[in-house]
Amino acid sequence: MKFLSARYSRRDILKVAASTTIVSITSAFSSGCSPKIADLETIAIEMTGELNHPQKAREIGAVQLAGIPLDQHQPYEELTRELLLTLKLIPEEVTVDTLLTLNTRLSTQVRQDFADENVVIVDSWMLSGTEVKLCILAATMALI
Amino acid sequence: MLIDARKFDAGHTVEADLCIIGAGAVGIAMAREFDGSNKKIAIIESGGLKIEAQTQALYTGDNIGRPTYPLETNRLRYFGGTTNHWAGHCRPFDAFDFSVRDWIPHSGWPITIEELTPYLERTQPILGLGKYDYDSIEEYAKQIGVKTLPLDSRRLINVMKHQSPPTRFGKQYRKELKESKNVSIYMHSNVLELLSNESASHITSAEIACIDGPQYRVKAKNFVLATGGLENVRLMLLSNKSAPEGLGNDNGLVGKFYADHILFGPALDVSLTKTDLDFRLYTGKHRINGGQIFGIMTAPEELTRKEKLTRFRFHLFKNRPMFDAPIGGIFAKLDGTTKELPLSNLAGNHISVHMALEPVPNPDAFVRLSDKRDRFNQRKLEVNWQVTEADRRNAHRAIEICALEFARMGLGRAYSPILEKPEEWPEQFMSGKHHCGTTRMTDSPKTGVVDRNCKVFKTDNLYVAGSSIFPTISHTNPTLNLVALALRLVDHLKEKMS
Repeated sequence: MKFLSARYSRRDILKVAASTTIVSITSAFSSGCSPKIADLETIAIEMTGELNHPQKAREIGAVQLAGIPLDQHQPYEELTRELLLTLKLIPEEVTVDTLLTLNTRLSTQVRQDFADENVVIVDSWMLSGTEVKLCILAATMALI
Repeated sequence: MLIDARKFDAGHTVEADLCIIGAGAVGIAMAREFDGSNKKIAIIESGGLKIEAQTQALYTGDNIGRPTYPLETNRLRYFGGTTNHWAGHCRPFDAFDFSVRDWIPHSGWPITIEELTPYLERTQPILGLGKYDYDSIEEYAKQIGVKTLPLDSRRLINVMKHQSPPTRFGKQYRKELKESKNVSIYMHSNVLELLSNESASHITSAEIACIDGPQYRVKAKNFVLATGGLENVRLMLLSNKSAPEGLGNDNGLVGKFYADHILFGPALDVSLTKTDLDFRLYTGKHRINGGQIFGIMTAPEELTRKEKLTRFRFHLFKNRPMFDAPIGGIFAKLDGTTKELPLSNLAGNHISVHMALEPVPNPDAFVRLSDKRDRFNQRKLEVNWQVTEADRRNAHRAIEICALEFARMGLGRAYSPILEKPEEWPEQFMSGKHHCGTTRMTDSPKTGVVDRNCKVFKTDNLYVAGSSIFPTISHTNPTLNLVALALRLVDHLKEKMS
C-alpha cells in the first residue's frame, strides 16, 4: 500500500500511468522506465478498490476465510491471478490500460455470475462468486 | 327481495327453482344472472346486512395443522360474505394452470382456459375492474409513465394484476337484488343440512334455522353450495341422513386436498445498489382503461416446466427489511453507481419482495367435522393446513430465482434466511386466507367431488361453487376465477332449467 498519493485519485494515477511506459502505478512516480505491464499488488489494489466500504468488504472476506482451512488460504498473488483468469485476462499481460477497464470487466463478470448461478450465500445474503473472491482478496491484502 | 326469515312461522316452507346457499361473491353474482328471469331463486344467507357476533361465531373451529388464521376471522358470515373485507387483487389463471403437470401429483382440471375466458371477461365489470387485458403490461407501463423491470424472461416475467375498488358485493348489489321480483334473499338463515332421497342422488330440501327464531325449509329443484372452501365441506358432511359419510363423500374426498397459498411476507429483501430505481409500477396502483392495475412478477411456463416447480408470484413493497445492515452499498460500484451508498436502513435503499406460492395438492391436508358443537348443536370444523417438503423446495428455488434476478439486473443484493438454510422453513410464512381444493373438480368421482359442471358426482341436482372446486390453485388470487366459474355454472343451470 505504498503508492497512493493523497492528492491523486487512483483513477488519476492510472490515467497518468497508462500514458507512460511504466510497470505499475507504484512505479508511475518512481524513476524507472519499463513495459506497461502491471504488477499483481497494483492489480489487487485496483480490484479491491471496486468495493466500497472496504472495512465491511474485508469483514465479509474474513468470514469466508474463517471457513477455509488455514493451509488452504491463498496468498493475494494467487487470488489475484485467479480473479484475472476469471475475467479472461492473462496476469502477465495485464497493463495499466487494462486496469482502467477493471470496473467494466468485473461488473460484467458479476452479472454473468448471477446469470450462471455462480453464487455464494453469506449470512443469508446472495453474493456472486466473483464478489466473494474480491472480499477474500480484500481481507487477505489487509493481512499483509 | 330481502326477507328476514326470523319472521317466518316455524315449519314454513319456501319453494324455489334454484336454491343458492350463501350470499357472498358467488351467490350474489349468480343471483344477479337470474334476476328478471322466470325462475324463482332463493338465496340463503346466514347473516344480516351487517356483521353480528353470534352469527360470526358460527364460523369458529379449530386449526389442528400448521398455525394459520382463526376460522372466524378470515371469512365473513353476512350479506356480501368475505368480499366485505377482501383486498381486491385479481388475475385469471393461466392456460397451463389447467393442464396436467406431470411433476405435480393430482394436477389438471377437466376444463380449459378457453372454456373459462368468456366468463372471466364477464366477471371483470362485476368486480369493478377495467378492460379485460392481463397481457399488455409493457404497453400499460408506457401509458402510465412507469418502468417495468428488465427481467430475463427465461427466469421471471412481468405481469399485471387488476385491482378491484374492492367491490363489496353486499353493498354494491344490495339495491338491485332488493328490487328483484324473482330473486329472494332469506337473511338470518343458517342451513343445518340438505335432505335427499334415500340414495342421496337427489336433494329435496334444505333445513334452515334462525338464531332465536324459527326453523324452516327450502324446497328447490336445484341447489348450489356457495359458502366458501371450508363451509361447503361442513354442509356436505353434516348432510348425512341418507349418505352416512356425507353428501358426495362416497370416496372420502370431501374436505381432502385442502389448499391455500403459502405467503412469504417478505420472501426476500433487496439491498439496492442504485438510488434512482423506479418501482412505482409494482408498489402503487395505477388508473388505466377504466380500472386500476399494478405489476407483479412470476415465472414463465417454460421455467416452471423445466425445473418442475409450482406457480409463484412476487409483489414489491417499500417495507422495513429483515436485515439490519444492508450490504448493497459495498457492491454499488460494480453495478455502475458512482455515489457511495450508506450501509444503513435509514437510507431507505431497499425493497421488500413478498411471494405467494402454489402448494402441491396434498390429500393429507384436510377439513373435517370436529366433535365440538355450535349453538345449533351442529358439529364444527377442524382444519388441518399442511405444507410439504415439495412446497419448501419450491419456495426455496423461487426465492433463489428472484434473488438471482435482482442481482443480475444490477439492482441490488438479496437477503433471505431460506437461502442460508434451504432445508428449513423460514419463520415468516403464512396461509393466504384462500380456502381451496376441498371439493375438487375432476372427471372422475374417484379423484374429485364435482364434475366439470360443478355438479356433485352421483347427486343430480347439487352443485358446488367457489374456490373449493379448484383442483390446483396457481399463484393468483381466487375471486376473479371463482366468480367466472360461477357464471359458467349459471349458464349450465339455465340450460338445464329451461
